[in-house]
Amino acid sequence: MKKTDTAFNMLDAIDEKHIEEAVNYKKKEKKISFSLVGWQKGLVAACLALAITLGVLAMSGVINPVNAVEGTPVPTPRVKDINVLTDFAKSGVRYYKEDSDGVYYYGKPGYDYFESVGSPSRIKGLISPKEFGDLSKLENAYLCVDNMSDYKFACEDGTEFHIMVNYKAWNRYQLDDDDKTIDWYNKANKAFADNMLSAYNYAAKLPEAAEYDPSLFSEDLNDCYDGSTDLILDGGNLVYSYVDGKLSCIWFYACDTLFEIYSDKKTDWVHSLDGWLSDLASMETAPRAAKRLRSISEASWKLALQDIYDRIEYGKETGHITYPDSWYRKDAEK
Amino acid sequence: MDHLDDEEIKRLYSARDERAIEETKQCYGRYILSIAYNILNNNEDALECENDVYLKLWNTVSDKCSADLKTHISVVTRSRAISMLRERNALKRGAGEPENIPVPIDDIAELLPDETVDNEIIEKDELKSLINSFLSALPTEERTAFIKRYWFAEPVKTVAEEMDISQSKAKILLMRTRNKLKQHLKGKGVVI
Repeated sequence: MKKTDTAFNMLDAIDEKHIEEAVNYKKKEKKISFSLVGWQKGLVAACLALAITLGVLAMSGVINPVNAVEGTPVPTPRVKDINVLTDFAKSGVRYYKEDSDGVYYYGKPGYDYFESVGSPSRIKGLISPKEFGDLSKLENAYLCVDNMSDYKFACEDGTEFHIMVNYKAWNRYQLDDDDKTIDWYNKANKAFADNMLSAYNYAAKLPEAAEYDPSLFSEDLNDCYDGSTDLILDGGNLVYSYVDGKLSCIWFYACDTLFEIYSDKKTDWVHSLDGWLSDLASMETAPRAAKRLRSISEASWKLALQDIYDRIEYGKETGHITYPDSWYRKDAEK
Repeated sequence: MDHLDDEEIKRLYSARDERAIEETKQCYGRYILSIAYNILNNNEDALECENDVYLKLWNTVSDKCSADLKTHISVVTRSRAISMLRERNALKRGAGEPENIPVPIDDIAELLPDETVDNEIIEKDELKSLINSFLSALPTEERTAFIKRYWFAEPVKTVAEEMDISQSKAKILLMRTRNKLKQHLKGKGVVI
């Protein structure tokens, strides 16, 4: 008997009660309801009246929306150059840099050690204005370009915060292992953790902005998306998934292939470099990626993993990441 | 114009009143066509299937039937469409053409033991027990998505729309349900 025939026979054997249930399946209705008792109704009415009055006065110029205590206008943070960010997000190019003359350009820098085995197209999704709604309202605007390269923050007050994340990767090719570099690294990680959280908080206020859009991500990522995630931040080689404000999952992404490296659901999960390489060796669905990943030297892998561990370590210190202690130091201890 | 309800249609079938077919076509014609088309992926075949379904209903439905009419129509339509699919593929094989099965049966077939293994040991009764015990243990949403996709051969997009979930969620739901089925089959010793 052929497998397809067996499969057909199995489906044919499904009880009619299950078919009937599917035939008559009704979508869950999304109901929002509340009821108020008498005094609550009065309070709501009073608040509405006050809000309308203030609105009318503000629009007519009778009052200014100022901070009543300090007496100064409430600042509205804005991104300085939203067009650049928008264009960047549309372009699908991962690297975004500014040269010494302040000219923006996009392209592939040669320093990323994954460059030797990947291509810009390996990351098909980027954080885009579409996901974050109106970026001009984002308090700490940021562009998460690639965890292996640059972050750029451009704010209304003219300050720009341009940092190189992943000092260790840089160190290998570009930078000296001095105090200044380490200082950069620490700042970068702080900004990373802080802004990941603020980005989440921002998106959480805009349910439609946090809607997962599969077209922005590759099939690999879509396959991992379970529908319960509030927000996915694609940080380049690392993809972060948040649920209820907490990091729930990190995937490492290289060569069009996604590897789960952290999950808050796997409390006993231990993964090591050897484990990864073993997994790669057994990958049947992505032989090309496996072959290419395996071609990376062990030193590079350790470097990459060390960076991930350090980043998670920092996240733990700042309280932005909670995770089991059991798994993550395995390679670092070697 | 108001349509008759299911019980009234059943009574027409019982009375051998030909309006039964008209009413069924009014109420369920598009539904029958959509099931047939999802399986056969061909308009002419789907129309032929629809006509066959009316004949089958004429011979099987009466007001004594306790089954839900829509469900019965689904079962009859799918059964006829699958038969046509098999006939069509048998003809193609005879003509030396490759077999073409548009329904997503491969997703399920790949969970089963390799055909080189003697899997005829999986008796029909065993299959029935395996699949129904598996489905009964699933949450309603997963079970429904599974049946819509694999039993009705609905496209993922349609499953997602009908269940009011995103396509990506539907894909994930289906993938996980298939994985669970594989584990279930493993647990029962069907898959090694």
